[in-house]
Amino acid sequence: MTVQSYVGRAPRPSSLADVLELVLDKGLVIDAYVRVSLVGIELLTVDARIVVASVDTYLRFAEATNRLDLQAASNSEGLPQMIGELTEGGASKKTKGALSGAGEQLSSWLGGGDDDEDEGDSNGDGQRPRRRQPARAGARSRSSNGSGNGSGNGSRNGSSRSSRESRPRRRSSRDEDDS
Amino acid sequence: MLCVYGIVPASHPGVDATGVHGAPTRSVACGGLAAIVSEVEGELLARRRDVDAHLSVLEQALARGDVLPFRFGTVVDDEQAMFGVIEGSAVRYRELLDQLGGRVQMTVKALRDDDAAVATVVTSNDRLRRAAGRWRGSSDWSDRLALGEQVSTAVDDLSSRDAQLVLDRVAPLAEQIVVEDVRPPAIAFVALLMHPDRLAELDEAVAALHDELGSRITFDYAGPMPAYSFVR
Repeated sequence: MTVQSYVGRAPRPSSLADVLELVLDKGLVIDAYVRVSLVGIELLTVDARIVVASVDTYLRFAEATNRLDLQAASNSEGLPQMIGELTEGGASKKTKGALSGAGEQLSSWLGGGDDDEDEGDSNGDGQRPRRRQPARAGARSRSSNGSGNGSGNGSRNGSSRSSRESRPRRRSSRDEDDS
Repeated sequence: MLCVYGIVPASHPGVDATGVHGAPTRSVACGGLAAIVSEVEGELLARRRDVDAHLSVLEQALARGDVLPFRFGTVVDDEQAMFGVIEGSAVRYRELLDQLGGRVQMTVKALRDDDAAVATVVTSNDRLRRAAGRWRGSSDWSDRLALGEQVSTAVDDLSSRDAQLVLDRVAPLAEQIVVEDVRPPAIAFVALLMHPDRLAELDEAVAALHDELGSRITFDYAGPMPAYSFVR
């Protein structure tokens, strides 16, 4: 066991969740002028803290998943890539509360529970334009019932969502499509 | 539209940084104050790249003077709207600059290593050690639950004491503190507003805590940064 005698000071918090909490939950605001969305959820309708908590939870699960000695070499993406993916693909699930969302995220990362992966989705690119729509709808329904722990309406888990989420997409592909 | 990063005194030299969407920053002056802004088109997403750009602009502004940080994603329609915002809140902005000027924010977050915390409480508590010896490996659910409950309670108590120790050591170095809510594995998260000339003392305090608390607590120690937590 190594014991460090000095604790390094970094310019910024080291976890993505803490950075997001800093810039999304703190700082001056001008009423009604904040027009930011995080992974497709308008932060005006969903408390930033809840979204940040979900990100935090996802990252913990992702790290725990990384610690598992999975044999499949194809699952060996590092955390930086996972962050990109989690913050993109995790959008719709955040609307259902951290725990159920994290469970889905974990199972999709482990490649389990998604037998309909190929359903109507042989072309990876074709799904992209639909991506933001469910997230928006979810954000609205979430703010209307006012609770972070919606039970997650099963009928919303349609095949398009499942197939979309089950496939890891790299951050770079998203970065290209906003040009 | 203009993306707003922060408010600085008119005497601030401004920044020459790249803001969100890769746009260059500039200053919009009004009265004795100025806003650091950049042009932005379309929807603003909290992407890592843009969040980093927001932080970088504000870090550079802080390195060159005082700055009141805005929340990421704050936009106004144009310069005219920016003038209106500054004029409308000028009194408050000046008050905040008086309070926060010459100070920086530091954050100290203490995170618990559950395995190390369990080892600490079980080896240091005779009752728990006996219980662990008696029940460990038991296949009886009630035994395992009883052991887990006792250990869990002891770990929570230990974490409360550790969190209080962290606060007691760092708070005296700050002019103001904000104690944030935490979720496991974090046990304490405190934002400190302080003079930069006391940073070495804080470095020492955190290093001493690290030595005392051993492997059961790790620290995420960050700053100097703009006073995000103190501008409300």
